[in-house]
Amino acid sequence: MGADEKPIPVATDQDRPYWEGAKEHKLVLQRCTSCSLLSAEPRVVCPRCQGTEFDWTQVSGRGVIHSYGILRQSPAPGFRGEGPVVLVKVQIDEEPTCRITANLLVDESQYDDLDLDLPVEVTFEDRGDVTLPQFKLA
Amino acid sequence: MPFNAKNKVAIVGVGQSEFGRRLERPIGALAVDASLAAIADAGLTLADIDGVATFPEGPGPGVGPVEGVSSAPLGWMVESLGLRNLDWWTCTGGGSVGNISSAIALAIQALATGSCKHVLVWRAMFQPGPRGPKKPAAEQKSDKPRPAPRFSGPNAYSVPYGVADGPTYFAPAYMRYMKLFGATREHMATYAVTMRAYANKNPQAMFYDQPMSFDDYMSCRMIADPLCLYDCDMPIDGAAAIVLTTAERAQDLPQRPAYITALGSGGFDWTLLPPEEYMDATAGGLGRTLWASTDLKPSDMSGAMFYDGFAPDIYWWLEGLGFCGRGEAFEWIQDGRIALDGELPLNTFGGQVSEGRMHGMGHWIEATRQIQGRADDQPGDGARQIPNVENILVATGMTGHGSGAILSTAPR
Repeated sequence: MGADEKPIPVATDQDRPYWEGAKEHKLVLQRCTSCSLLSAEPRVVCPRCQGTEFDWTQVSGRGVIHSYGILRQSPAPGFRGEGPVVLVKVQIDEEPTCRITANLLVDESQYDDLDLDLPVEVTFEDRGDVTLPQFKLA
Repeated sequence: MPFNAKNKVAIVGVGQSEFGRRLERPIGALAVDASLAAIADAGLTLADIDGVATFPEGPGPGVGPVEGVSSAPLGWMVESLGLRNLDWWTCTGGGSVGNISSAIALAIQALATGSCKHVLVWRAMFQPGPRGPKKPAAEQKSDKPRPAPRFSGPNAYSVPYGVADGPTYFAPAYMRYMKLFGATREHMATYAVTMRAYANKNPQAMFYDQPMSFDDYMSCRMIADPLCLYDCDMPIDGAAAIVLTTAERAQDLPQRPAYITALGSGGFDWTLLPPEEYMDATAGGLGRTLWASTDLKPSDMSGAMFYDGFAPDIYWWLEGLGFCGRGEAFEWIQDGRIALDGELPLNTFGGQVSEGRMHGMGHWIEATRQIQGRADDQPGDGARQIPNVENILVATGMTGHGSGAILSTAPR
């Protein structure tokens, strides 16, 4: 069986700046205009101040590993037969409650060295006509 | 938190259908099997049931529920059982709210306040996938690569990265726990092997006939490191049911009543916490409300039934419910402490990891059987029976919310 293609994100009106930013290799996050909370995924109401107005801002793309896992057989389409993939939760430097889900692009030989709090930085993967934020060890 | 329903309600009957992998028998028929068994076990008839509760959930991604075939929702069950005296019903679930314990908790409150007299609670589980003989090769999937599927909304931030099921969600949570506190797979082997030994004494368990050694566990296939296959519960087809009534009415029924002597719930108060810490918040919230509802203490528990969709769940329960300190559970479960003659016999039916996934009903049924003194392999042998049992804590749910209760042999 040939390899299926991996899933592609589709922007919506709620998160278009995130994916447009990624296309330009920028990590652009939604920010509450009242309390400046940065969120990894778009919100309608700010859970910190209950504000309902947001803008978008580019962040450094640097952070640390909050946690990770090594997916040996992800059931997501396109991952079967791909070999292991590292799933990472990145806590970004600008906001400790903001954690981004991505893959950590590392060699299998580095798996044993992975740990919490290791510094990472954003990188970008083109997939179809979309670009995904990913992370690598800094 | 005052618990005004304390000692007013008891579980008086339990029932289970056949369990198996992709059974031919439709899920609705299994749910009826389990319900009729529980009602008969309670010494009641269908005409006595005037309250019903369940926790439904779609059968799984890509599988549309077909009532009676791949799901057993409330209305379908009421009709199929021919219930005509319904005074009370509830259906927790939807938007990932609730679990079977929250349905049971509402049933307890309904009985205590006189809304109804006898409540049937069921849970039916459907394992997605084809039934029956395999299709000819020509009808199977094409070997051509499929085009990339597209995802928007929350799925755009998960599925393209390989996150698409329970293990991919739980792996980072368990990894963080292990790294923070120094837990290893060797520690978890104790849980898995203990569960399998219990399951080997539980004829209902999927793994009744299959022992597991430490080496079996350690050499098990990894799914999403640090989770291996044996850390995951086994998806099955099947159904389980319990019957509850008031403590007063329970006196006239054949089974020893399992009195509800404490009740609590936790969850949803994890604003801005990462998912890796939801479980702490859930178990901690349940601990706070449950212990506030009773004078009983963790040391008064004869045993515990803790939801184990994934094996590491038990660490969060043990810590959040106060049996040990934060980051201590992986060492606490060693040295026979969770075995039948240990300080806290845990999941004596084998847990979901060795009995099969019944979304918490297996835990409630075993808690009831322990209190009733009939945790048997063969009838009357007491093969899994906790000696001198008095109180069993049952806690189910986990990812973000959970509920639980203490079942006791007498009012407390």
